[in-house]
Amino acid sequence: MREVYLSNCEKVFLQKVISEGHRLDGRNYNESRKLEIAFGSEYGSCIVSLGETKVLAQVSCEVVQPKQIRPNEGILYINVEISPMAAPQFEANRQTDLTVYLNRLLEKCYKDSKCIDLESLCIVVEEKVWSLRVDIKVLNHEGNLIECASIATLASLAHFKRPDVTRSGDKVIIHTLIEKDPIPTVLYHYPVCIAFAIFSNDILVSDPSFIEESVCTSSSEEGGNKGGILVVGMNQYKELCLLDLMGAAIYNSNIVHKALINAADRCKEIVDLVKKTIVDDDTSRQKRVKKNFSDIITTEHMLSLSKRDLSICLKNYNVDDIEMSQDEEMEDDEDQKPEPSKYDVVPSLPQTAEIIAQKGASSWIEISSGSEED
Amino acid sequence: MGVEVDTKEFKLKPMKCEFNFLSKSDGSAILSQGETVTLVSVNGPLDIKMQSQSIEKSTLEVLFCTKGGKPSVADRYKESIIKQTCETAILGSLYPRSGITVTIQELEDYGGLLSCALNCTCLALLNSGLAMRFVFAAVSCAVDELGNIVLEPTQEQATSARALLNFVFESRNKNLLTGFSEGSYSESAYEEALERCRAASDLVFTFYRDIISKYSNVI
Repeated sequence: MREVYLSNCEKVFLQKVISEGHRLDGRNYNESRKLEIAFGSEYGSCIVSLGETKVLAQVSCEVVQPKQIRPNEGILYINVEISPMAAPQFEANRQTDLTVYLNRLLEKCYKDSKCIDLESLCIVVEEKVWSLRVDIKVLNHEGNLIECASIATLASLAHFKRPDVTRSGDKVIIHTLIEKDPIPTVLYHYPVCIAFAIFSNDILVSDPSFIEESVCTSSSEEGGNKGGILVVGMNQYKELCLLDLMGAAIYNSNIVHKALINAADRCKEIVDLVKKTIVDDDTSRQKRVKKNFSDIITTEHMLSLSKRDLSICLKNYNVDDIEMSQDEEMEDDEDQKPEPSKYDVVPSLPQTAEIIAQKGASSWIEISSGSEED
Repeated sequence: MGVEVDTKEFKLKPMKCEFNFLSKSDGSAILSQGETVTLVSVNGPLDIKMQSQSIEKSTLEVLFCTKGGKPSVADRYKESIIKQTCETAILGSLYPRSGITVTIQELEDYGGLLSCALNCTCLALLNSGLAMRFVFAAVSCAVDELGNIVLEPTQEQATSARALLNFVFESRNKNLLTGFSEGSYSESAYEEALERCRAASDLVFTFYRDIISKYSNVI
């Protein structure tokens, strides 16, 4: 399908809302969406969801011949795929700019930062090494793919265990998982990519949603682009691993500094969560609890047809104020009763409203046109 | 929302399903049958390129993605089976000059991946609201060494089996929609397997009905 373009009203509205200190989903500038990590039954497979953005990662390994220039090092290969599942505008089996961008950033973050001990992946020098392949599949694209994909890569690499190998003379025996306990991958440090959206060159927004991402990278009304996306790669020791800017040039170095400080805190949080979930997963595996992706099936979206919270909520918007004004209006024209509609918008939690469908069978509406009656 | 399908005669693996797992797709479903899990997203009717448009009916595109590794011939085979089945089920003539894309993502494979993918596709199509002639249910069975028929074999049973048979039935007259098999088997074994699977498909249709009635209490 062709790309869906952003309308000018959306663009102007979002820029105005952001400049006034709000965000469409009611978050603060440096607040992230909810992060969840779920592991599958195999080692090295996980689904990471950041709000509604969902990414599947799977690590697989095979024995290959090493590269000539690095005869004693294993190989790490990262492959990102965006299928039409992520969003309808993506085409199957086609590389887009976004895939290349994600792939390159992840390679920079995990290969070039040397976080994996590649030498431990060597079996026989110049002959046999392990090649790790990380497959990243984007399931749902609701913005900030890079952060979600990098957490998925990190979690799956840290979770992955390769089969044990013994050498006897010229022979190399690869043991199955039942014969010998598999070996975990050695990670020197845990780098994570954190993305920030920059609006009008001075506002820094962490974990941008899809619409925020597309607004800040597109040019504004007056022409000329003043925003962009800043990706910061950092590990748990607050060491910088990668810095990438997409969009307009920054003419204020303070904003980068501010991003680094925010990223440092966020990285610590993420790495702690990744480590904790892996330890939890390990202990439950030792207790022989069967883990499976079917555990992620919940009733969360079950009732979405009959009721669903609006995704838009502004933090200073108060439902009570609206009700007050509605009551006043009602008093003015009491005899005019509102038409009973099929859907009723009712305030549920503070700051949100729900559309609740009325129960009962749907009925036919009689439509009579005047001309036919004549 | 787990609904255990359990009768005395036929035992199918427990099924669990969730609708609208993905927010960007028009329809999506995640289904687990036993330990096998698949995720399907349906988008359509979509605006597509001029050269792939058809004036009579919608263009159906099916993509099967494995969990890891490179795409293989086996994936293309699964794709073509799912495509043929969907093509008959969807009332494509209602959406001329448009496209429908079905994307299937494998999450766990412990036997019966293809039938799980087919059932999940049907649920995702129901969720997307595309017009369909009928719903369909896939059931797999194996013929073991002794010639016995095992419904929904486990992975060990499937690898040691003499033949694997898969059937897809439609909901209206329980007619056979798609059938595919591997291995060698006798004609009588095929007939018996067909009848048993036909009877077992009832359980899948009941599951569909349960899940839909839970999902949309408006109807």
